[in-house]
Amino acid sequence: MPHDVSGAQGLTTRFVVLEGEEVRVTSYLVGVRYSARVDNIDPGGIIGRGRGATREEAETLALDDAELRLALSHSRQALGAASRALRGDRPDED
Amino acid sequence: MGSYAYPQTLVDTDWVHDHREDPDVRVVEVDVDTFAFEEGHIPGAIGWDWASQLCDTRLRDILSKAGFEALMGASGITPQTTVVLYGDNNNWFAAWAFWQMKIYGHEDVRLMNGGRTKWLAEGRELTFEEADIAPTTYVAKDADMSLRDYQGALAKKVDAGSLHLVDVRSVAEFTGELLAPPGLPETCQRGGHIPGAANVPWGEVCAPDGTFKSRDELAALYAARGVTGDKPITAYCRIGERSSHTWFALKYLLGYEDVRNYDGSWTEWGNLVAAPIERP
Repeated sequence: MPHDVSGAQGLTTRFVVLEGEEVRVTSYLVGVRYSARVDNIDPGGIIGRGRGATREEAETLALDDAELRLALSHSRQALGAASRALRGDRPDED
Repeated sequence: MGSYAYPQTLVDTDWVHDHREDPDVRVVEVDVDTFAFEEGHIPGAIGWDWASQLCDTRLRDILSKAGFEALMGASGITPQTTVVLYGDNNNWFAAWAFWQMKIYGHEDVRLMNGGRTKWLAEGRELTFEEADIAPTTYVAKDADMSLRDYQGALAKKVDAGSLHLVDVRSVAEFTGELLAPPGLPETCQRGGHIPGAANVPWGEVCAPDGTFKSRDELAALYAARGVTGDKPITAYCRIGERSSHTWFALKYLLGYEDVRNYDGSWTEWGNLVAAPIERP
């Protein structure tokens, strides 16, 4: 990587819906490389990151990362609900 | 920062810019990993990886005294160094590092207000260069565990109603609707919260730019939820990082004397057999 010192350029933030959840995508350029991160807004934890030669490439990687994590979250929730249903638990009991 | 109880523990981005080459100052970017650090960091800063450098993952504990001393030494830090911590993820993991440095008695440790996000938003300089570090021999103080809560002691205080308990997770986690924030691992068996806890999500202590609200605003925020400095306070979240951020605000910005971080948090309490919980 280049060792030039520069500021982040072109910092942008946008909101998209991913796997049914609103997430925030932030990306910027440092040197010759774009960086992107996706956070879950509430509470704001970062769930996806990506880097690339273009903003689109970095954001796509970060969104793919976040989409996988969200899908896993939802799969675990669905599995838990199904397990409780099989046990005959009340829906509001874990 | 003047109105805070301990204003010297919080510095702004201008201060860090002005002191980034000060040999008595070590700037450290702290996050759950070093991905963001590798994307460019404050010139002269070093990076700490929370998952591999600030925790004993085998014990699920903070670093041992020897482990802490080794990290400080490798980071070129002496007990006299001014350490400035900042990070991505809203400074959560930087606040964890601050908490741990205070446990081991480091005198002058500070948070950069607004963290990495604010530094980026201001277009300030970043570098990919690694800082040239001269290792030191660091001797830590004995751990001050009055800054930390353990489940057994906490359970007794909950039973006795002798503390203010602050759950800093999101409303959905507090109510048990979610076991973990979207996209993060579910690491507990049930949803809800510790009996008697007030829900003050971590982000309520911050302005939109991620900097801390004023002392008056913070005091009003917590007082409205019944949390004042008249009793000991313990903060918790899911794994103890968001609650480190709140712990910092309560102890160093508001100046409440007896404030602890329960780093076992919901991943411990929520998994315990027979531990009482509340859920709407």
